[in-house]
Order: sequence, then structure tokens, then C-alpha cells
Amino acid sequence: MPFAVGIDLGTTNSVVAVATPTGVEFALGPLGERVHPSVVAFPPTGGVVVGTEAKARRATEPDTTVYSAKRLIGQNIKSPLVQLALTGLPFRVDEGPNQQPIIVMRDRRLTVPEVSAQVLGHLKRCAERQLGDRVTQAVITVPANFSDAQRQATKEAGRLAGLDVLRLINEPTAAALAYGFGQRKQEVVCVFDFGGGTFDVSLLVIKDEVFEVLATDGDFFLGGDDIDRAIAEFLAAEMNRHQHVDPRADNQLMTRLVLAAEEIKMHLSAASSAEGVIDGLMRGGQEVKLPFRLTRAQLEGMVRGFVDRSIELTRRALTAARLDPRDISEVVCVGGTTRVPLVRQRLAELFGREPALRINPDEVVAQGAAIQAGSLAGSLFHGRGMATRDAVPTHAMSPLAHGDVPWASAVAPARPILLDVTPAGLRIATAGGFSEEILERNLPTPIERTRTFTTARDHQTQVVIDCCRGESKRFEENELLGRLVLEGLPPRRRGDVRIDVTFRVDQDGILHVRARDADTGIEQETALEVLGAPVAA
Amino acid sequence: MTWSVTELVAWQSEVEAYADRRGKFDWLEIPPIASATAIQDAYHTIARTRHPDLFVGRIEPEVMDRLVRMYSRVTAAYADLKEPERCAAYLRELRGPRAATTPPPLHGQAPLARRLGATLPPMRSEISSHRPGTPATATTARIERFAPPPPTRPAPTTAPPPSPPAPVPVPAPPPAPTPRQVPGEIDPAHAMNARALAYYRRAEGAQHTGDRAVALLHIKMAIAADPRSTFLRAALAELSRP
Repeated sequence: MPFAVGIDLGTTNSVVAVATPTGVEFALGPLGERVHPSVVAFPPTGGVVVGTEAKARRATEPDTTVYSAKRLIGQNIKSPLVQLALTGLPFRVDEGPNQQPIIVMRDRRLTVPEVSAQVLGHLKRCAERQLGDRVTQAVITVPANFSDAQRQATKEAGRLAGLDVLRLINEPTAAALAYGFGQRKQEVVCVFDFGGGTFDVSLLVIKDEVFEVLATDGDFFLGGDDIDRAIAEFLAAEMNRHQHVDPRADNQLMTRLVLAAEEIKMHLSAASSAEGVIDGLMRGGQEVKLPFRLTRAQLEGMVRGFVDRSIELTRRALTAARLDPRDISEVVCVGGTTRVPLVRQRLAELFGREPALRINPDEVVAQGAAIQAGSLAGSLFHGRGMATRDAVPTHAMSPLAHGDVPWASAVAPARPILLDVTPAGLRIATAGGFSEEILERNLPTPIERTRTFTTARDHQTQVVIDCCRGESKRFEENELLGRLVLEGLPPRRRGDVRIDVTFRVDQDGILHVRARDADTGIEQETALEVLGAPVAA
Repeated sequence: MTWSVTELVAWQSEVEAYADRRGKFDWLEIPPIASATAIQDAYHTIARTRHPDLFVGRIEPEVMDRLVRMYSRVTAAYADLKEPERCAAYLRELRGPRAATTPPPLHGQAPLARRLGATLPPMRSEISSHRPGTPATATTARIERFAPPPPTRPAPTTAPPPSPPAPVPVPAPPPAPTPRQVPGEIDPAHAMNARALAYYRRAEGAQHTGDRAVALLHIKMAIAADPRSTFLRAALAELSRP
């Protein structure tokens, strides 16, 4: 039978897993790795290389190796944050139709969903090899603060990879599901998800099978990549000082330094100082060596700002959920950055308790996605090994492939319920450059709400409804999502036409906008034309 | 715990018929009380029995679409009621100014008023898209991208809207919001005078214990006390139905 898998499509790394009655099983890569780098390389010999093999090419072929595509997916290339992110990328990104970023690889022009589809396709192949059957359905996780366009683009990537995307779920919610499924818990938890590219924090109440998110907050541009970048800047300054070479202008040198920075960061999570020589730095055909010494205290000085920001966002989420830090009975750490001792120390200070240690921060999200995929496919059972602590070690060949998994011994399928919230306010533009909120942030989803508006000018026969995302009364200060036009209104005096605008957020967190003339019944349910999203061919 | 598809479809057709007339507490299927625990429990009970995820692969896409819509309305009601301030404001709105003198409605498990609420013409409106205290009334917010901003409001300096072909007069101050007749839960306390209400309560009690004759009698007494109440007439009609 075809399988439904759970995929954690991360900024730096991805994980794919499947729920079986004996536990959640992770699909291994060709080298036996459980964690697959989200890197896609286009080697000069042609073809596409994904995963660990592609990551190895980052140092040698920086301009044809795409990484951190998740930071660009569903983004409007004109947005200032995206422009900032682009400055650090060694590969070329152009503006495509509908203001979406286009990645240029030699003679190929790829949309970001096409690149992500390569990663998803790789994960699908890994899972198929291990499970010995087709994988057709998937639950993919996204950061809780992902916008509409980002979600749509992620779904599109799944479709391009030949996957039926059963559901997009939020990463912190998936982690909470993995933490609490089948444990009959009654508690309030904080999921602190500090990944490679994004930071999310969610507060959930778990009541047996119901996982209700109370509040979520986050920063889309805050992650381990930023720490790597800070260390690389330090190394570049060192190099400039000792060897009078500025590597910042050199793509290849800088990429090498960023990769070294990542290793130094990981080393400093365990040791108090890191010392060594970075080799393989090629300059003018000659190899340059860079000796360095960095202590944990120095690193903490560099990353303090990032960590402070994450703690501040956590406090904000607590306020929104009307909770005191003492109400939290467990802190679930997700994402590699939570291994940084400073992060753990600050979390312990905030909550007065050490974060849960038995959870693997790299795998817990994929595990939750796998549980949800099994639930939606009707193949999830209360197995013994579903809990996080029991995650089964994987064999190169799955027992599922031999058919010796006791599916038959299981009884009624389990269906845990995830109740998520909207990550940001959703508003429409009104006269005078203002905006009116229709759905606030932290509202439970799926939700539908209607507000009535009117025309501002006499004999107006059409209204343009610009939709945006954010918390500001001023329209410009929010992130523009798209527009809907309602035409054929009866020409009446201003204020006489009543227009019902309905915002609906579905279970994937995707917004649907409907506008209706309350008197004539003329209705437009145009899917919002989302800026930055892929254009339907 | 999860409902069968038959139960689901029955619920769907029931709520869809009166979707626009259901009040927030109707959606959560609890009597109007301001208990945060009760509200959360009610929502969880609904989620456990008929969350759309429970029916993935079990129902037709069209039925699923309808389910998501109805479930979204339940969520919208929950979203408003789970905030203590909003819940209190909503309860005040339901009870009206007489809340201090009249006791809160004694809703039983299947109160007559709520059952009737679904079939009656609205007596007083529950304003669904507009909450008191929020600046956005149904008529003040304006969608218009071509008119100039009113001079009294600060114009955005970054990107002013394109200037119109001809000067357009400043929009007049918004007319007083006309309460829109959006029906909802009918509080019997507003639908009749105090004497009639006393009889009505007894009728409700009798109805609850299954004593139809006594219920009828009390409804008739209530009508005698307040002959103009259409609510009571409808209640009588409902009760006299064989």
C-alpha cells in the first residue's frame, strides 16, 4: 500500500518520516543519514544533485548550489528583508513574473518551488527506497509564521514533486504532537523552535488527543544561519587583519568561511573554546590558511542579540496567551540552534526549569508530521513506539518493506486533533491609507469572519479590495498579500452600497477572500492573487 | 468519540438551515455562561466529534467543503467567546439593560427558547460583524482606492493615493449605524414583559419535564399577560404542533 509520510522541509536540513504501529521511522539517505541537507546542486556535467552530496559541492561550486531556498519561497522579491537575504547569497536571483524570485543556474531559470520540489523529490525517493513502495501522500511542515504566499508556494512544491499534500502543518504544532501523542497528557507546553532560518514559538494546551495552540509568535528571518553569518564575518575580519585579504568580495572564500563557521558553532556548543586552522581557502590559485581562536564567551557576545530577540518573542507569546511562565509544564526545544548553551540557559531563566532533554530537536518536527500524515491517511494506530522518547532507530531496510509490521493487531485508527491559530492579523485597505482588521492574530483556525463595508464615492461601480497581513493601522506598514476586485456594483450614492467581505483561513492556514454585494448578491470568490506566489501555468 | 458520517450529515443539514441565525453560544452548543473552562471544553468536544480532519477520506469533497465552512463558524464563535472581555460584552448585549433586574435565563439542556430561536423571526438583533467598543462599525470603514484621503485625517507621506480627476467632496460623516437585522439567540427576557416571563419560565420547566399540557397552559397565561409578544405566539404554535 502507498504510504503517507511526514516531511520537515527545513531551511538547512530536511527530515522525512513515516508512522508505523511500532513507532515513527525515519527514512535514511543514500549515505545512511537521517537528516538531509536542503541543498540542490546543478553540477557542470548536467543533472541535479540533492542532499548530502549537494552540500559537499557548496564549497567548490557556490554559484550553482542552491541552499536556504526556504528563505525565498513564496516571497515577494521586492520586500526589504528578502533583498537583505539576497546580499549574502552566492548564486544569482532575478525577478520573475508576479514579483517572485527566480533562481538562475547556468542556462536554467527556476522558480523557488521548483528548487524545493527537488528537495522533496529526493526525500520521496529516500522514503520509497526504504519502504519498498510508492509514497504518494505527505504532510509538510512550515514555520508557524509563514504567510499565505509561502504556504501556497510550499504546496506547489509538493505538487511538483508528485506528492499529494494532505496538509501543511505548523512546525511547533508538529513538535507538540510528537511530544504529546498517545501519552494522555493534560498540560500546557511551550514549543521553542529555533531552526536554521526561522524562529517560532508556540504555546499549546494538550488535552489527551486535542492539541490546541493558544498563541504563536516568531521571526521569519532569525535562525542559525544568522549566527553562522556573524561568525563568518568575524573570521573574515580576522583574515583581513592577518593576511590583508578581504574575503567578503569573494563568493567562494566567503562560502568556505560560512561552512567553517557552522562547524565552529557546533563545536562551541560542547566545548568552551575552538581553535584551529581553516584550510582549503583558495585565492588566486593559491591555498591560504587561516588560523583562528574563538571562545564560547566571544561567540555568546556575537549571538546575544539573536537570543534576546527570541526570548522577547517568547514573552510576547506568553502575554498573548495570558499565561505566566510558571504555567508552562514543559519546554520543547526544536531546531539545531536550541543546542547553543546560551539559548538553553536563557530558556531555563525564563521558565524556571530546564528544557526537555529527551527530545531530539532535529527530528521531532518530522515525527509529528508523520503522525499527522498517518492520522489523515487513516493508518495511524496507538502503537507502543510513537512517543518521542521511543523513536525507533532505523534500519537500512524498513520492517515495513517485509510486511512484518503488525498492522492487523492495531484497533481503531487514532486521530489526534490539531487546533492551530493565525500567525498574523489579516486586514483590508480602507480609504485614506488605513486598514481595517478582519481577522486578528492568534485566532483559532479554520475560521471564517465577515465584515460589512461600503463605498466611499458616489456612483462607484467597482471596489478594489487590497488584502494585507500585519498589525498596523496604516496600510503601507503591513505586508501586501494581494487584491480582489468586485465589479458590477449598482451605481449608487456613497455609503448606500453594502459589501460583505469574508475572510476564511483554512486548515492549511491559507486565506480565501470573498466579497459580496449584500443587496444584489453579486459575488466574487476570486482566489487572492498572491504576490510572490507561483503563477499557474 | 468521533461522529459517524450519518451523524455528521444530520448535524450539517441542521446547522446549515439556520447558520445565519445562530448565536455564538448556539454554535458551541452550550447555554450562555461566561465560564472559560466550559467554553473551552465545549469547543474541544466539538473538535473531538466533528473536526474536518476526522473525516478526511471518509466523505465526499463537497461534503467536506460544507463541513469546513460550518466548522469555521464554530471556531469564529469560540474565538470571540474565549476572550473574557468579549465574552462578557457579548453576554451583556444578549441580556440587555434589564440584566440587573431579571435573573439570567434558565437554560436547560434543550431550552425552549433556543429551540425556538432557530425557527422564529428575529426579535432583537445580534450584531455579528460588529462588536460594541470597536471603532469599525458596519458603515464607517470604507473601501475606496480612488478618492482622496479626507483632509482631516493625516495623509500617508510615503505613497499618497493617485489624485482624482476632479475634486471629490470629503466623505460625509458616517451615518449612524443602522442595526442590521441579523438574528441570533433570542433572550426571552426581551421578548415579553416580566409577568409573561414568569409564566414562560414555568412553561419552559414543564416542557423540560415533558408535561406538555402544563407547558401549553403557561404559555397561554403568558400570552394573556403580554398579548403583543410574537415570540410567545410562535412558542405557542411550536408547542401546539402535534
